[in-house]
Amino acid sequence: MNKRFFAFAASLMLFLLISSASFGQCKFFTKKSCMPELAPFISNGQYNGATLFEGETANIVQTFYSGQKYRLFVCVHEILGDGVYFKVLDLEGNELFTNQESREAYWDFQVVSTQQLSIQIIIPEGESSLGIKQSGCVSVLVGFSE
Amino acid sequence: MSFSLAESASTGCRWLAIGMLAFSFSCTNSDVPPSDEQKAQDHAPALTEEQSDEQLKTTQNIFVMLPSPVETAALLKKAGAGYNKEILNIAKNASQYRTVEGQALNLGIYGTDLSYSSIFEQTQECILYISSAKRLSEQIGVSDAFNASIIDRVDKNLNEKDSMLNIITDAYWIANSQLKENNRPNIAALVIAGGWVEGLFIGTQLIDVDNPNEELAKRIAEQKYSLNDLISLLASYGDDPLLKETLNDLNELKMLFDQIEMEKSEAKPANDMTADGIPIVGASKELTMSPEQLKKITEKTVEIRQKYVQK
Repeated sequence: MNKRFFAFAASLMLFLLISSASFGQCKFFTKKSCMPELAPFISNGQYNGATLFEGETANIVQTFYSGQKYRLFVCVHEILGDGVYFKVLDLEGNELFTNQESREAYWDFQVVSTQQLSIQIIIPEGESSLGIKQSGCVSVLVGFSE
Repeated sequence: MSFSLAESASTGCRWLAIGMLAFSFSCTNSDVPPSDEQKAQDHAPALTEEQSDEQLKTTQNIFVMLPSPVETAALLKKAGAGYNKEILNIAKNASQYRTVEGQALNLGIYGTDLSYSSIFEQTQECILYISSAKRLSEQIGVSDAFNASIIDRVDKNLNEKDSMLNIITDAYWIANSQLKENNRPNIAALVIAGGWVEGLFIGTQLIDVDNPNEELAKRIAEQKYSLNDLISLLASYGDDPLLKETLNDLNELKMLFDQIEMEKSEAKPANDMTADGIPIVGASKELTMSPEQLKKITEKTVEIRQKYVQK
């Protein structure tokens, strides 16, 4: 046992505590700042939020049913800036939509027929000269309406 | 990324640090009686550290979502299905589920029964299933899902279908997020699996296999896609023993759904619009399910669902 060992254990403890706090904050942010924006669509009731770093991407797959209207809402904490965008692809990789230009946070759509789609969220690299990556909460909400 | 720190550590260091962390939490809570959540976590298997690490490596930033029980119930009604309370799980059985697996699966099952009853505005059944779901949510440690505020909203909106659907969705969201927050996403996945199986069970019980309602048959066949999503979700937790049996059941069902043929055309960009200006996207896909396939799917679904409600 030496000082390095205890320094490491303390660092790990700190990391785990921060991770736990970060999850709680992301959940709180989603509940307070994102879920109300989904109305009048009914949420799918699943929490998909995570703290992501600049330069990361996230992928979500879901089946969407024909005849239903959907709202896809990608809710991003302001700390990540306004560079975050998303793409909607079919499972063959064909791009059906992106908000890269418009930066609209949500997209309402229907599908021609029932199918699985992939939602890709891209957090671009930041411009910090210090090389420190910024991180923030990103939540993906899907709601439906008849 | 910060995870490299943990990955580079020796196993001994990791366990010591985690032990210290656990100790620090136990100290801060020593004067407080254990909550439902704490009691449930003491007994419920959460992911081990190795499983969490493995899941991180294989599924980092990849998520799978499934339609909620409310959406499934809405799809059934829209397809022309009727209401039959006799096929639903018996509400009073909620007290009989002793294992975490049985409690989680049946919380999902009752969630779908509640959504189905609510969509058809069956107030009495709604009350019964809320009570069952409340009981099981307490047992698996997510009592907040049906806390006093939610129950109060239920009391005030029991006859308002749209409000009820939002309340059920909120309860489902609280349970889902709390399980994930408490490092028990595997239990959340079981709740989703139970709800999905019940949706398929209701659909297959309401269809006449010999003279099927085409729209309802189409919705049943389309569960082929959601089943793939569900299997991906459960498989993302590696060899979690808690999920193994359910995953095997779903894979048996998948073998039947895989026999349903699909024809597809090219994917469309967002050029077509509905009358109210909403883009219609994606490839056109046609599924063809034979009566024999429907019969086999129905039989397998009954077998799996029976097993779950008797756990």
